[in-house]
Amino acid sequence: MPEIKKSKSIIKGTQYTMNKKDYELLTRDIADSVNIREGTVLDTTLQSEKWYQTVWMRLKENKFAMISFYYTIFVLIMAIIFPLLLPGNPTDTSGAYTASYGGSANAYPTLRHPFGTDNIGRDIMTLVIAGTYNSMIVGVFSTTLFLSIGFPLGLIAGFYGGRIAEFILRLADFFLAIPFLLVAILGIQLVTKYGGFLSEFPVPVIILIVIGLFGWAGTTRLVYSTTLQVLTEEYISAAKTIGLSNFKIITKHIIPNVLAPVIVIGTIGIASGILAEAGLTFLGFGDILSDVSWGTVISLGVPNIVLHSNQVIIPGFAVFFIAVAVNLLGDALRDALDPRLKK
Amino acid sequence: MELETPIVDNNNISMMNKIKNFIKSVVSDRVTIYMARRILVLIPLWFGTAVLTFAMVRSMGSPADLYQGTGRQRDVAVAIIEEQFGLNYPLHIQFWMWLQNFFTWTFGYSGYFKVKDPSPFINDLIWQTAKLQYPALLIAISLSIPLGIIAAKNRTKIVDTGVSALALIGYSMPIYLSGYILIVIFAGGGLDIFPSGGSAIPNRPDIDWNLVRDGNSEAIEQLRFNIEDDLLHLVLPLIALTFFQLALYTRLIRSSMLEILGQDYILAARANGLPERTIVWKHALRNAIIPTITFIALSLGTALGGAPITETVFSWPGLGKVYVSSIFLIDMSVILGITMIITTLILLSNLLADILYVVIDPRLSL
Repeated sequence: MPEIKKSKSIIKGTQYTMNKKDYELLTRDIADSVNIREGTVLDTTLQSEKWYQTVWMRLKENKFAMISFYYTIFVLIMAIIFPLLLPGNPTDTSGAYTASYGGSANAYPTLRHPFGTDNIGRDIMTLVIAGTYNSMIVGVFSTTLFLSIGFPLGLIAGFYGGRIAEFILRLADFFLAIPFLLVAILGIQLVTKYGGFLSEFPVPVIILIVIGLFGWAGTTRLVYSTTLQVLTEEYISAAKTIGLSNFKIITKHIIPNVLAPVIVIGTIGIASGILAEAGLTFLGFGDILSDVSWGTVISLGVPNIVLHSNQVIIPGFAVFFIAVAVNLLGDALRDALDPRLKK
Repeated sequence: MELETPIVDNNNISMMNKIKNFIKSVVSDRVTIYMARRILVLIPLWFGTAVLTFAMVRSMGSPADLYQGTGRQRDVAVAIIEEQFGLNYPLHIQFWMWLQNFFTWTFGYSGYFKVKDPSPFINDLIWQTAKLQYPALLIAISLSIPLGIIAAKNRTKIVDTGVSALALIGYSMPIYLSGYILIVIFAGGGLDIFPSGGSAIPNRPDIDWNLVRDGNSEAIEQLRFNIEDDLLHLVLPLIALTFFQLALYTRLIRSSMLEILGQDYILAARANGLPERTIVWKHALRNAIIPTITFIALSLGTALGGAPITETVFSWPGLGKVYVSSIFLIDMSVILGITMIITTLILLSNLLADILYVVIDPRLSL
């Protein structure tokens, strides 16, 4: 069938201009846009620069974004390799018995213990470094979990509409109406203390599962509304006209165009996951003596805060710095992904 | 003056018209159906949350398991506890009993307060939490609107960078850092200006309002002391909370203001030579405030839900702190009571946001 082939090839030729993001990224340069109109160098420019390369180029221009990017990478690497760097077990309390040379419990910062020791003689710097592990695990995997629930549900609701959408959106409403922190606290206490075989899991894993299970609704709403916007574009009706399957339309045309806000919400989700983990362990969920987490270090230091504020403030700043870095990265990504907001 | 009067009148007429139009639109079918649907949707959401929380609390086991002791003494204690909590009944009857208790505002036996009817305590907790959260919300909103507008107006200048940096710090800084920094500096071992925790000094005598009305000087002195004491205790938690919420609202207003200032009709207003003040404060702000107002309406409910960490930091005797303690005691009446009070508030504030949406934005298609 030569006719259909011809129409397909036309669509293929214009596929790049149909992709909204590529189109916008291209048109930011006037010279390029002239070329598009004339249809000359269209294919070569597009193939030479993918959208993520453009985003990365823009991100590089932002100095603060790069600093926070490298800091986040640094903390991630620390979370993986910290056992190699630390002299001993982070929960080692032998500092309490070596009172000479700046040891002992509740020691002020010295060269031996740069951040001091806590009230049972553990080195706070070691605890802070080891705490990156739980923090990053919860931050990264809770985000992965809530995105992997929320993103497909939003796509399905947006693409198929009708009763499926109604059901999914009502479910999202339900999860948005639940007082998140209260139910998360309840769920974590339930699983850690009374969860049968589930309570064998480490506390951070339980925390990340609870955050992921209760936090997906916002993503679903966002993906749903963005999908609806994308569906009104002409390239979708073009794709439907040439008889592409639904699966192909979703994967080739909708997902790339919905991805930008999801990347941003995912980045910010990592920060809120880190904050939630530290907050929940601060409230006393988890084993204070065996789980090394920034929140438990803070809550253990609170009774001594008047004389030994370093026990609370330093782990607090550890949480704060990584949260600032990830949030800053999210903001920079939003600016880089949305060409309209560019200077 | 002669010029001004018709303008004022015009405004009045347009306000009256707006109100009339709103009443008309409420009476009209579509809006009524929309609102009725929104209200009806709340009921399953409420019951869903109640059942979920009930199931979670019940699967935590019996509070009797926490009793430490052996032998006959333990058997007696367990029997008493099960009788008090109504654990002898089947689950659906327990849920029904709890529902009845909630709607009659008696909540049922509480292990945390050790009373049959903890409603006076819970009323006090609600008051304590509201006294902290809503002023913080109010201050944050009233500061964030000018801040956000100034930042958006001076985009990419130093003012904007400063405000944005402050906002970034504000919402990245956990309250257990900002709170403890405040405590270290201003309370306890530091300057010792403010108390480090609690909402009042312990064993403070209550005020006898009859004596105050009669003009008893001692009672008035006591009243003055109590108010001063309340305010002193409120300062630090209020600063910490306001800082966090200020950051959220400033970001929101800045971004929606930026979006509006880039619209064509702002360009048209500029081209017509309208003063910048009128453009920003009248034309732009009106549209930029819509997402903020709905967000504020939502915050009225969620403000109480975010309380546990703040209240733990400042040992504030509010809903959140008692909630955490009652979870460790498996005190079903208090856990369910607090969760459902906050859920009810969240759902009502959702409804308020929906109503405001219709009132503010007539373009909204229902």
